[in-house]
Amino acid sequence: MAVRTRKSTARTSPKRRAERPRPTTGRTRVPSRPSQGSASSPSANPSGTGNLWTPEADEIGIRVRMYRVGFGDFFLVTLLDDSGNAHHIIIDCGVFKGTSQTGDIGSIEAAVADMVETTGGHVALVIMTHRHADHIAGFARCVDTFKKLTVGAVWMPIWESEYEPTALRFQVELTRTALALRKHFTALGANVSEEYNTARKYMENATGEFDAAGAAAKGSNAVALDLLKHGFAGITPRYYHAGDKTDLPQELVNAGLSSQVLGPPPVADIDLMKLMDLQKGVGQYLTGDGGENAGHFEPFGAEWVVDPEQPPVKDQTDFYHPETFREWVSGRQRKSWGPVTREDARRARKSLERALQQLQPIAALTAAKTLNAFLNNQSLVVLFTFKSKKLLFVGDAQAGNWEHWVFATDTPDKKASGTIDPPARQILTSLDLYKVGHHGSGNATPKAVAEMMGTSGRPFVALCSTEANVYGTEDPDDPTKGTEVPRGPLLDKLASESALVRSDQIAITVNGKQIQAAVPATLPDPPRGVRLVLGPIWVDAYL
Amino acid sequence: MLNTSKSTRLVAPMRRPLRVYAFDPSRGRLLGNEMLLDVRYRPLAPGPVDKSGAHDQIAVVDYDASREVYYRPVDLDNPFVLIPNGISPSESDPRFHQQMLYAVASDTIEQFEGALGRRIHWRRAERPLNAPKGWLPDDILTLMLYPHAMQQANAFYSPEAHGILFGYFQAGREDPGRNIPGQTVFTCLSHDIIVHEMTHAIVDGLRGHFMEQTNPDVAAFHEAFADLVALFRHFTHREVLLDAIRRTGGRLYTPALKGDPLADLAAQSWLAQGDEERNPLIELAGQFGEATGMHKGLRSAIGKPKTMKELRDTAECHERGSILVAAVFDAFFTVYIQRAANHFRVSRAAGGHDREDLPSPLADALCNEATRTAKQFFQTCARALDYLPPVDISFGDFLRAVMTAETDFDPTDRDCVRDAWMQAFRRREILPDDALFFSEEALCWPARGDEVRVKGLPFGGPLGPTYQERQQTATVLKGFIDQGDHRRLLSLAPRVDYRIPSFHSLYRMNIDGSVRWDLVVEVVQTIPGSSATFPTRGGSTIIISTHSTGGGGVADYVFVRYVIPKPLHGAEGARRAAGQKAYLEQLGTKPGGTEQLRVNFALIHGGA
Repeated sequence: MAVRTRKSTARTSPKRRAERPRPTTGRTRVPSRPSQGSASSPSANPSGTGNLWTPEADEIGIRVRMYRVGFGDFFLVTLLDDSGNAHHIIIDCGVFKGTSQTGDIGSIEAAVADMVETTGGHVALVIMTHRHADHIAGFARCVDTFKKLTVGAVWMPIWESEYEPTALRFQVELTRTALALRKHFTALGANVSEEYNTARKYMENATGEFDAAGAAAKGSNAVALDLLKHGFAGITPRYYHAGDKTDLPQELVNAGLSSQVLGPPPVADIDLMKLMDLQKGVGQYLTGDGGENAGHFEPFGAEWVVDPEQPPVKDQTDFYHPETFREWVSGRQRKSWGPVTREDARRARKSLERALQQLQPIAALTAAKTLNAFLNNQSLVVLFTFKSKKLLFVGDAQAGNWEHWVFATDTPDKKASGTIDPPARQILTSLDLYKVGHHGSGNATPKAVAEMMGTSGRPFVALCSTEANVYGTEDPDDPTKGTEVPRGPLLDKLASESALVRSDQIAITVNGKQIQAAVPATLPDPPRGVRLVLGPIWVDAYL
Repeated sequence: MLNTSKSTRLVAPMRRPLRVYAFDPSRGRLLGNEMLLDVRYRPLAPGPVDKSGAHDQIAVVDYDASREVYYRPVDLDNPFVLIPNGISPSESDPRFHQQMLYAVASDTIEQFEGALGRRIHWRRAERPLNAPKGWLPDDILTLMLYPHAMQQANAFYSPEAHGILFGYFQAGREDPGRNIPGQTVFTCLSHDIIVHEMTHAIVDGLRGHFMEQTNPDVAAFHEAFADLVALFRHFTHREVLLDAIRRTGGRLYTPALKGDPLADLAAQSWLAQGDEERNPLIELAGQFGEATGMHKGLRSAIGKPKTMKELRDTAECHERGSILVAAVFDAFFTVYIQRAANHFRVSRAAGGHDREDLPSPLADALCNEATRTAKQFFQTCARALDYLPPVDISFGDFLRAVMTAETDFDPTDRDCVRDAWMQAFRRREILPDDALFFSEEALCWPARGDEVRVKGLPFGGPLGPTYQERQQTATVLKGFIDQGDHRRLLSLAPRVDYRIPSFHSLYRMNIDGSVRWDLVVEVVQTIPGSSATFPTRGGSTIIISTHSTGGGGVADYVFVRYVIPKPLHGAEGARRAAGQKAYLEQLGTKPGGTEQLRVNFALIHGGA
């Protein structure tokens, strides 16, 4: 926080800072008007709920509520129009248990209940950034609750469109492959290693969980997608890619909101989506039937399998001679000094087998990772402008998605070394709120972008919905390890230029059960015109 | 013992003929896809496992780590196997797989040894300068080949496995190309894949630090180089080559083959239509590519007419490497066309017409030219390895190494081979960082005169130096480097410890038939990394020669001919360190030890 203060002194004199309304940090602070008010008296006005709060000085009536759901994203954006009526936008609703199985802290149902209460059952816009469980699982789990909502519009990335043949084909292929990979990894359950486990989790994120009764066939993600695409009466989702003109519901337009879609890149710029990698690395990885035989198969009949220990029978010449394993004999007799005994050979054979088995999972895991990155890159990236305040929601966008709008390129630029395109520069340096990409992972929010955001010297709020210790420690060199999410250096960088709030820094209470903060910290000093307020299971940013 | 002529003892044969696929099983028995490979004779145990104790020995061990079983090994000395020149090609008999893997691997080793002018050995672990004698566990003494190591569409060289893992997988249900849907595809039955992976293992044995990924060219270079070796092998398969020459009218560089009666125009529309009849000579790993739904061979030699500039930021090493492959093949076809043109001229003078089908003697002659040129290019590429700096190589370095090796080997260059190389690289903007001009002289590493003598080096013999001679060479080299201002002369950083990872005596035939002796010495310096910094390496390749352009070749007249540096210090050192840091950070490599830097072929080849 000290760092941030230093930055902001350039613009804010100590005197003015003192005059500003200060939020209580670390303790729940009741908003000026409690939200319960709206729940008890559902608004008669279909285009917005009644007054939820009164903006303080310097605020213009935006509230971004980040629910602490564990490892996942669930954001509720509420806008006050000139007459004080509230209009609501949901951006994702998901959680995923992750590799550690601890990502789902069991609060999403309570969060959904709060959302219903706050919105009074009407949401102007629902945005699904991409189809990973940590962004949509809540839609599936609370499908009955969601079905009761009235919704003004649903936005999804272009990749979900059923009218875009390329997208459709690949989405089908992708799901099929993810299911196959998942089955493959599950089939290997007996000798499950950490690596396989990681890979299986990746694929479960892509397909959703299978335990829910109705979801057994396709996974819970399918339930969520079905809800979003067909579950809201009279609403056909809009599928957007970068540059599309958005069709905002009228109530939001009237309230003064405008929006711009920055990602994903158009389907034609498929290179950016790592699609080539996908075809090479994943699509053909497994047996073509995509499932039933995705486990092991026998390339040769049982008659070809031999026991290497078996000494030769009379006249037999094709057997494993101890000499075969000389390379793996430890110690001096490896190099032609002295013969290899049967015992030497047996030990050597064990080392050989161990070495080869350890080399096995890498390719499978790489395939799983590629697929994962591909899905993340489908993320719908939306910039909202409400009365001059800019809010950027990027989903889990990874390199290719960012590159397209930040560097204005249609070819992959892995170095991310290009010069930032002037319009993108303008956006990045004028943000008021940034939803940190991919739960703070190092593979989202490119370095150049994080740096660019800091150059304006204009402090902003960064909301990072994440859960520490869910994904492994970072070792990018070694894909058998998980990816460190959130990534320490990135969050440090963001914290140095913004008021960064992590959802896992607050303790919450769900159904009377206390869930400790994973990374306890007090709320940071917000920039001028912003209040950060703790709720029972959320953090609110008032702008 | 002089009257050995009266001995009735049979002598060991020189060669062992073995049957293999020229390409892979998907091409069936057409077009000489079954070929007889004459490999060096080595005493073998079942496996086959080389029992000779030579430094370049290999062993095939059929362990399947996915199923955790062993498959029956082949005994190539069994009379029933010997008499028909090995087991006949079969996908269903793992013993044929072992035989083919052994044969193609042995053949690849021999090709390299021939071109390099010495016996090779496998990877040696990194040692300090005055390491105690003896083997380390990470030294590879026998290269292990695992024909069915895993159920994956992948094959890779892994020093941890002391060898090469070949995978097998089921072809896609949809779109399997020439394969039956769901059929099992074995990477160890692809001639190309074996050669490609063997090349990685051989290069890793030649140069201990070549695999360290310190700039984007490194991994790409390895992929390109291995592809080149595999591709040039295609031009030794005579039957296929003859057929391709007939069907392309001698224009081998066309990616599609025309059906016999089609004229050029029609052939072009075929090209546009697709690739039903693809030219096998310029395509790698056909079955693998088709089985994985990529519609054509894994990589094609002449696709991608892109330049380096367009691919400035392509970190995908196959794509980057494909530029290098295309450049080399551009040079190759230029030389081939020049040579073929002479034959066409003769043919026309004798009343032949270009538009007719090629007469058989002309096709034969073109076939010989193609084989000769391919062999020459392969040898140039292999020889160039010795002319590369010991660390941090780039495509530009490779061009300079090629130019220098060629100049040493054939100073006159009547066929303008060097010009073809230069132009091909220039078209793709593969340019050395440090050469002042794009001319032959400027591109060659600067040759020194004979002013810096190295005294006391033993010459050894063509079979390699003896143990004592190696010890003596090491002592002389250490003395030479420590002497006077030789560190400066050799572009070595002051006050940093150095190691000599390898030195090799080369006994090579010049184009005029004379024998030349050279000694290639790698000197490497390392600044270790820490928790916050990356390790950096520098050093020089020193080529010590007896053979000056003036004649020479006298014993005791031994001098430093080339110093090929990648300095660790000075402005150049700082520039490299900065570039490496930026590159590694982009890759997401963690700072720390040098083992982080090594290319992981399991990932690079993952399904590719």
